[in-house]
Amino acid sequence: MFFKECKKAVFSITFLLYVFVVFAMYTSQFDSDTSVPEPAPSASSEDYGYTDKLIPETLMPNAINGLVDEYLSGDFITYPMGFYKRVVLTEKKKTALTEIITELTGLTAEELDGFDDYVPEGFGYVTDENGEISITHQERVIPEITIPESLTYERFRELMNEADKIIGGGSYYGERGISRYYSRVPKTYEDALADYNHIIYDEKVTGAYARLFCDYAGIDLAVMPVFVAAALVSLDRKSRMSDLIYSRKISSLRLVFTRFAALVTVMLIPAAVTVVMANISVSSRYPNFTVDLLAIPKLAAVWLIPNVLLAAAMGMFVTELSSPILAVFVQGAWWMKSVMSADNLTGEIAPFTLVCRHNSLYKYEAFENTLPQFIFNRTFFTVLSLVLVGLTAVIYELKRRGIWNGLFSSGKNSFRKSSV
Amino acid sequence: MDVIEIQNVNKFYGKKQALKNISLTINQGMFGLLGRNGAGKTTLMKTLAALHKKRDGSITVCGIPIENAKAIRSVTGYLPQDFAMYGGMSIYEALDYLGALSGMPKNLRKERIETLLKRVNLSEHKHVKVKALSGGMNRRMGIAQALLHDPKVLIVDEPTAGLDPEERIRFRNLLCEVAEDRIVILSTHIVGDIEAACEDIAIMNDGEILWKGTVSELIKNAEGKVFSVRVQRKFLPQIKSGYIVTGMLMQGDYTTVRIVSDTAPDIENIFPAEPNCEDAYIWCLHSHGCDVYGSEDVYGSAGGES
Amino acid sequence: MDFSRRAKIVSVNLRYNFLPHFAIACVIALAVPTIFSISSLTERGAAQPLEYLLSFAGAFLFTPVFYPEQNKNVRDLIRSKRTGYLSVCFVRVVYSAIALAVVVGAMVLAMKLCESAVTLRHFAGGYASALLLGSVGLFFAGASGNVTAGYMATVIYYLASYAMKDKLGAACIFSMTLGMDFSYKYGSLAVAALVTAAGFFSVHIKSGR
Repeated sequence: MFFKECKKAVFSITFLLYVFVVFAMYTSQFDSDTSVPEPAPSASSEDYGYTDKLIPETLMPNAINGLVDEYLSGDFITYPMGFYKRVVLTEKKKTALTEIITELTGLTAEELDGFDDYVPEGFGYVTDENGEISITHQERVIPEITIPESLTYERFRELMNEADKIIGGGSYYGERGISRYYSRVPKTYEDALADYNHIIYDEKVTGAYARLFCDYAGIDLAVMPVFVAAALVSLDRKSRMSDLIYSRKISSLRLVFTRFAALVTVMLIPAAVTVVMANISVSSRYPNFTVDLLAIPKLAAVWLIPNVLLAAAMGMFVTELSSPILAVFVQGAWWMKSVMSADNLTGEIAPFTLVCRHNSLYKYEAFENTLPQFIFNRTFFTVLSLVLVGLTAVIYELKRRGIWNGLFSSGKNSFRKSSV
Repeated sequence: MDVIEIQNVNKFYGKKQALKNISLTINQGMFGLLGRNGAGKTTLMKTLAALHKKRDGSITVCGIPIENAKAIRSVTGYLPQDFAMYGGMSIYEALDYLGALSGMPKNLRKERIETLLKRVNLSEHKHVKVKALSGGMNRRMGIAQALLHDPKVLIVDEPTAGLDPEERIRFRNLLCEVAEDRIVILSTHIVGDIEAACEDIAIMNDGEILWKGTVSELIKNAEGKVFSVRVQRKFLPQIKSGYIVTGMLMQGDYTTVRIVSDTAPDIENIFPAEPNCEDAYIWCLHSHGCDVYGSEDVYGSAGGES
Repeated sequence: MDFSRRAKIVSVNLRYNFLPHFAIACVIALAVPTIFSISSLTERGAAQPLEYLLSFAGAFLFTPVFYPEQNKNVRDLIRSKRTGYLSVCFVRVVYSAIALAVVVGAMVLAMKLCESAVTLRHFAGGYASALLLGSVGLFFAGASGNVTAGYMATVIYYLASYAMKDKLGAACIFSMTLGMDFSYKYGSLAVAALVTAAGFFSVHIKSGR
């Protein structure tokens, strides 16, 4: 029966689309991603890329200048849910913000509001004599700022957090904003070399690529299986015949779990193929190094299987409970919310995030720091999937006995024992 | 008088030929279409209901060419093999909606629904949701919807499958009543339905009409081809492997076996028997070269239902 | 008399084959402010919530147009009646289009009240995107006879639009957010109409075999 279920799942249009998405995601995202260059000592420090470091001496003036710039322009750019939001302050809030700026800069409200020469930082279009348009970088013009000697870094962060609250959260000045926008410093040669050595030797290349691979693959695997599962279950409702044959021999629990196992198995096959492809692709990029061929499969198993389990279980559960449309909606909405509101793509995996992200070959420490959360997260989703499958079996049993027809179910799908 | 004329009709699903040069004339009354599963009965019926397109040949229903689908649908009522409807609706609502789709005005719908529900014994259940209906009720509602616009032709596909014996008899009787003033085409793989209800029949196999005529002609054809013998049970496997067995009656260590055969089988104490409809059907299939030995399907459905 | 018959067909469909999907479309609209900001947006910023999220309201309204008759027996039953099956489906397309206009209109109005720089173009553009995504779902659901495949196609189309951006031209659902010329939206509408017609045609072919 397991193989019969596998066959049913494989020969469906939804499964074909699923396979297409898995491979399209792999080739368009992961396979086209860059490799790690070996740093060479050079004169310009910007050659090594950037890293995040909180250095008060550079960070404070930059952040304060940015705040004054936005204050003068009249609106603030924020990303409260990872999406662009422009905020215009009410008079009351503006006054509150002025007080903060005064403490940060020593500039009074009159000095700020009376400044007429303001030019925002940004890119501008310039047309030359020949009529050709070029883009120029435009330096910001704001009042001269001298940061008071008495302002400590701690007080600065406090004030900036307050400013963030006034603006409404998600601005450049909150905890997250400061560390994302004002902590970017060029890597030194030593930093770059250390990162390189870590990736190449400590992680045997694939360790770092494994995170990137799972980051991309996790996105589609957290939603696509719901379609395959919902289609299989609803298709099955259309032809309950087979169930009636099974029903005499097999318990609901076994039937539902067998179906679930079959679904997950066939859906993991294309994913497993991309794992092999990733291994081949990565090792061919680093022919002269020892590559750990188990790193990607190991991490992928822990990272990706729970995604498939959950999406498949959700598909079966909600379809059996109500309809395939609702199943698609529920999982789709959760996925959308998770993907769209992920504003930190590296290393901050929360305990209940559906789609875990780590969109970088670097930042190993960040990943390791949240490793306990990550393990909890994956365990949680695995257990949740099994619970959902169990509940599916319960609903299935109720329907089979004719006790309950399902939520908002329509009879065209409910089956009748007499209509064999 | 209303009549359905089918001439040299062919139909293909891809490369597979589903209907092979079908020619039939169907007159008023009950017409039975008999055949095993997959013989092409449903395809033929859907073609008559203008749900499927034929490839060539011609069909007229009460004088209307089948290509005029809208007019055809006005004069035909169709009950699919597995009648199903949006489940959240009550019986009354569903009938009302289907009536509107048939182009019936509101007061006529109301009147007809009341009459028909009474006739199929569902008046008390008219507010029951479609999804909560039992198999028999579901089928009765199905016939009510097919008769709603008072069609000249009623096409019912395997209407008795899955019904218990009592419901089946009631349903058959209902169809007979209905057939008094219109054409009713009934498809089935259950011989008993045909025997009890139909005068004219056609037997289909593999997309072809194997045979057409009346039930009594069918039985007459099988005269002298049916035998009965009482044997010890241990000989059963032997008999089954050598002959077509259409019935068995266990009596202690002995079993009475009905055998269909061209010539009298070489078995001790065998004597000729009166053919029944089932024997005649099996004989018909066999005499047209259909494999009925190992076919569980034919054996199980035809023999098992008696 | 004939009017009341048509009214019956519409009202039954509204009640049984529309309300659940409309409810989902409304939930999507209500979810917009939880993910996006809808207040004080610039002209281009205001296009984002409309194209990136509200377009799914279209997917959920149009994909299930053929769904009530996904079961072959129900479909045959409906088709055996005099009123053409596809004209019943077309009625569903019409009222879904009206409902979608209401949802998008309400959203644009809400944004206007929240002092975003929205114009009629936002309404028309957001509507066109939602129609386009919906038509893709309708086509795939119709052609495959499987409503789930329809939804899956909308998600894939959405992701493809996201990845390929303006390379898709008029078929891109994010053209306003990307700052493409508004005339692309007319193209989007045309594509949506064409794809919807193709969906109907595929159902016609399949059921008329």
